[in-house]
Amino acid sequence: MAEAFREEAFRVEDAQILALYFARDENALAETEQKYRGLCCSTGRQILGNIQDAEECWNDVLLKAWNSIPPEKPCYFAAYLVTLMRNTALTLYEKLHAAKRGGAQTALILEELENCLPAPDDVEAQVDEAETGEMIRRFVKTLSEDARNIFILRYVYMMPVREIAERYRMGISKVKVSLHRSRAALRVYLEGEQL
Amino acid sequence: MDLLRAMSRIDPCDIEAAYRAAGGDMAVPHIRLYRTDGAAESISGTQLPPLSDPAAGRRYAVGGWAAVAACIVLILAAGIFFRSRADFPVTPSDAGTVTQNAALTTASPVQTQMPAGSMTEPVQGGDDLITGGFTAAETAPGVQTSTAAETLPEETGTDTTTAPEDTDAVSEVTTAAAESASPSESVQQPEVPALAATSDGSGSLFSEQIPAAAQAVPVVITDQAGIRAFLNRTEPPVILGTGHKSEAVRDAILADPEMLLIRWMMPDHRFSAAGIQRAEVTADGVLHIAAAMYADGDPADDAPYVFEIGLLYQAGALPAVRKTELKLEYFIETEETGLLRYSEFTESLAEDVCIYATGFGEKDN
Repeated sequence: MAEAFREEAFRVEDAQILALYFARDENALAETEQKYRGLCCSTGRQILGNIQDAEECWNDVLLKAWNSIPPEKPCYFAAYLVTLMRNTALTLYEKLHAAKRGGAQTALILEELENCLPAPDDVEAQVDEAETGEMIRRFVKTLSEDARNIFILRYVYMMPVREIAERYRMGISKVKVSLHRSRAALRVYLEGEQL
Repeated sequence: MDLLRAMSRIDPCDIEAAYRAAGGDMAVPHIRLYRTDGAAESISGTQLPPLSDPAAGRRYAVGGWAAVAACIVLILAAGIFFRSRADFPVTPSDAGTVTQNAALTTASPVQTQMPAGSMTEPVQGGDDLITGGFTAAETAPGVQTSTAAETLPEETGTDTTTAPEDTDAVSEVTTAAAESASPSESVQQPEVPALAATSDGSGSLFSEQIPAAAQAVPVVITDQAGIRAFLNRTEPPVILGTGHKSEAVRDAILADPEMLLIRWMMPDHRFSAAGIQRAEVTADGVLHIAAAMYADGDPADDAPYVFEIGLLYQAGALPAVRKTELKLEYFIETEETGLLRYSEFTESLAEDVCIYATGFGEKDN
């Protein structure tokens, strides 16, 4: 009951913030900053390895949100902002990485995921990001709730394993086993989809 | 990188659900801003105190040195603390405590026995051991008995002597104890030798020495309910393997099972999971157990770990055991290799299983 109430309150808040965007009220940015800066900067920091770059991305995210809402009206505002943040941060990461600067979790996560694609070197097997994304979206639905949440926290929010373990009050190795199994399942799934 | 980018296309409702499930309070750390008037104001993000403010600089310098001093004191205290527990529980009085605690885990009508005749019989190989159950539990002192009591509900205290380190003397005492054991006694705690924890100390994953010694307390369980309670225990988890026995052998064991339960405490409490690779009794009467332990790499807290190995075999078929030896393979977790190797190990073990297996993993804290 309390959970449902919190979720409803969460939604109402988001709806009010979105209404400000639609009214072109600049308080929308302040409210977004107030509510989601922590979440998005945390994600950005995990990707980039430092808060300064994450802050830079966050400013870009606010600008993108301001420019895209309206016409867009995201149903899940938090996820929308996190997605914007991830994409912005990953772009910056690639740029920085080319200049031999690295992020904290990104290199580890890339290493973890490198075996998930069945034939990464096969040019013909390469498909566009949208198609892969769609497959992953479907794959994630097949996971159990706990495994799905752990998978998303790790690979979407780029959260360190230790932090996930702390949040879920479980051992680090248990989180790792869950991720290991999810990655193995993802590989099998992608092979099944002939990626 | 494409795959990582593609993760952004996961259903937003799943992304938000994960966020809320994780507590929904992910935030960057707050940094306190020290103003020149000495008042502190909590701000978020990266607003650092002005470097040109000498007062703030001094405060940070003093604070920094204080933090360093505090760290040194803590490290010294931890060192003294762990050093004092490094031989835990090797003193006779401690060993007696352990023995008694172990006795508390043994329930009536569980019988513990080391057949007197078996002590003089020719020692056979380890063929009669079929399975190894291995548990690792983080247990605070004083808590261990209640955990065990869940498995074996009744408590029966026994008045036992301590475990001497001289194995020959132990053999004699054990034999004497076994000879004096009456079938009508519900519990008889055998005298046991100290467990020698050994390690080859090599391998790239080895980062530290295995704790020198621990105290083992073998207990023979003949009560089927007690055995099943151990096998069915999932918290902490149980790993079982058939030991590559034929079905006929397994059936015979299941028809008349007996379990040798060994539990011991380790002063190093970082282990989060473990499993048996091999268990056998050699001709010299030594029970050799090769086990792998998996560690997170960080000390968890100051509670000792209690490990248990349960060896299941046909009743009366276990050769005389005059000494137990443990060989530990010690896996320190690393991002790349630790988990993978550990995972391969446990899954290959799982292939052996094992009609009893109820799962594996680690104890949830």
